Amino acid sequence: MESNRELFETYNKDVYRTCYYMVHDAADAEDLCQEIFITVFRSNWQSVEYLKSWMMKITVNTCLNHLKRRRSLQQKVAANLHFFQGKSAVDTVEGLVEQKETSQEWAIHLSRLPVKIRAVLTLRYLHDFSLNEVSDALSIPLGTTKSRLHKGLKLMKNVLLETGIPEQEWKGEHYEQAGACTQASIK
Amino acid sequence: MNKLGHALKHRLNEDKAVKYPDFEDMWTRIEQAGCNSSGLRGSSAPAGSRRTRNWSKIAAVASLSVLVAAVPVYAAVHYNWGNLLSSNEGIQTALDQNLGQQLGQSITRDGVTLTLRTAIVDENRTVILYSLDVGAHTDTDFWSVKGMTLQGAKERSKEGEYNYEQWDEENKRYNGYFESDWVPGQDTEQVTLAADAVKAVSVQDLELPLDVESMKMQSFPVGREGMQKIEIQPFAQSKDKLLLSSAVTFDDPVNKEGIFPQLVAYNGTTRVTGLSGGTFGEPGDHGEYKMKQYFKTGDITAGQTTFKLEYTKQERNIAGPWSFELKLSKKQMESGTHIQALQLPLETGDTDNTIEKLSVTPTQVRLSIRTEGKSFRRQLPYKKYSLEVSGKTLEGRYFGYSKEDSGLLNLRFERPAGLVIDKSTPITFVGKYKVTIHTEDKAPTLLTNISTEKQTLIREVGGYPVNWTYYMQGKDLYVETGSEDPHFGGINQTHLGENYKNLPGKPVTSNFSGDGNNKAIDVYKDFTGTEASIYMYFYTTDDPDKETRVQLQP
Repeated sequence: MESNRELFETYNKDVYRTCYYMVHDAADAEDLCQEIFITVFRSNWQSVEYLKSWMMKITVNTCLNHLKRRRSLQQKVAANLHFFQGKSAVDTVEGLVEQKETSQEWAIHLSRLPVKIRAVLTLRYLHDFSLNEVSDALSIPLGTTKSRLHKGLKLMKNVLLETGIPEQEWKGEHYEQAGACTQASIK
Repeated sequence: MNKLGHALKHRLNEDKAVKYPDFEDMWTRIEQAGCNSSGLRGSSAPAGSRRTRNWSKIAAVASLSVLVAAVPVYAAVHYNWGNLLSSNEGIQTALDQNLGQQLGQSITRDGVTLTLRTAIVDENRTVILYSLDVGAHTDTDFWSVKGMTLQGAKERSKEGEYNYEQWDEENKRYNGYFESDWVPGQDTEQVTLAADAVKAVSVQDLELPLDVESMKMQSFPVGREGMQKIEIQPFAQSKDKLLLSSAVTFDDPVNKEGIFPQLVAYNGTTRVTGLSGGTFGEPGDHGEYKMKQYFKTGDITAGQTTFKLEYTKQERNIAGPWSFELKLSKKQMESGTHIQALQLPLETGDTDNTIEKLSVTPTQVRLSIRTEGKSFRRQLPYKKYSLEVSGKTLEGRYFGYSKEDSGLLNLRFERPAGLVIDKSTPITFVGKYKVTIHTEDKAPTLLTNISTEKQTLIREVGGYPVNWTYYMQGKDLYVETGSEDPHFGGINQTHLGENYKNLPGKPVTSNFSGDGNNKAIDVYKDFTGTEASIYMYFYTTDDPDKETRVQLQP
């Protein structure tokens, strides 16, 4: 791969989808996707050996930074609610309708998990990263990756049960028995 | 992979589940940002145009405040900043040479006036000096400006921004300092400096009947400033060092900003000075605010020393927007600036760490070092660093990894007054106190007859005798490691082997490398059994006398 355009064509969907599952907001995901490609194009990407791993590392970390910033912006907005009151009432109604319409969406389920856990699940299951690759991408020890993955699956199960998603959507007879969660997910 | 894992993999990869944006449109915006299809790199153009949506709220806030645009003015105005700039000598150096840009804009709200005085802008950073006049106030209140941020015309503000204030007794007002990594893309750029609020806080405390002789977890209700309770567990970390490991539970785990809880000890009315190395604010599993504090055992007498939970309480909150429109320029600084690309190993034979860039401005010298290797290895092997410039030593300040390039570490050196640095000035980088990471020892340490009784065995690690002390406390197994030999740096973390599938121990201590403390405690929750094979992730060795010298110029 030699040109920026080629790189963009190859990975734009992967990058966008990761952003979308990480931040659960289409507009923010679009901004982040653009920002990530600009960052990548300004770096010496041609010399990177494992391009996809490297791109996903940048993607997930950019999303984590964004979520950190957004949390602080939300606090700021909450502290100045009187400036936005008219608009936020509309947002709430829209939000409720949207939530109802898309309640089956897994992005919403994911968004209910803590961001650090979300990052591990996204890399592991969206991009099929090995546990070592996840550890490397997020700069965390292998043990932490395993425990976040384990916790993530446990939380996800609770979210699905709470949401009332039919069990056949995520349980299947051809899969192994329950109770071996951690061991089974160690690659 | 288990069934939920399979389901996740399947659902997340369903193409139709995600509605993609217009990628052609995005490509056009990327091209506008200066990145084109031929793969040109290194453009310094801003990050492309964005959809306007993101700025609508910010614009709405900004429009509520009176905006006055200022044009750059340079004048010899001498204002005494006291010791506000004591750790930013380079800024004082620039002010002394009249390189500051006078701003002089004010906003007054509820009797409190925030005045921007001077800006210093160069290739590395932007600094804005300001004053805060709070009028009549009580002596126990501390005022500060919160959420200060700089917003360029096209770029989002960068992280790494911070500000602080200092009371100016002579002028009866606060002096403030704001720093950002943001620099103008061109010589001059229009920016917005905004703050969320100006707040006053006071320091409060609550006495806690802590029993330091008991090594058990002790819980005390708090019921103030959103704090529900505090749980404290004392540990005798060595014969002369006491560790208090504690966690504050808040009503709302997300809303704990600005409370800054900490434990303080008093002998009568004398406050006990804690030892360095404490950590504050590490988040717990349920959003607790965790703290680790160290005290000299000799300073603490059971039954006599009293303990208090100290915290801050908000007294006033003058919400913004405190927003200023400014035109900042780095033109004044250009003549004293030079940047040089380098390719020098940190020491002979080191292929992981390479010095890549030296950048000299009138206020600062900045060194960029590329650190390769596995993530946990990506730290500078030398813990103390300085520059020798024409016989003068400039102490370094670690400034973290570059936001744009995660492998590039920046070290900063403030430029003292009167020191001439040009392209021919000899500059040498000096690194001291070497810390080496070792991962090769994968042999287990077998702990037997585990009980509530403390037992110690000695097991060699990298040629150093290391004490492994283990005991049960409640349902948990504690493993303490450490060596009398100061050249042993410590074990970062342990894990249980075999039956426990590499279950990691949870560190009770904060294990910093190169801090001269090689004691570490890991806890294994809900441990059952009487034997355990413990493995190390890695350990470090310290060589305080090892030194590297790299000639940077000429």
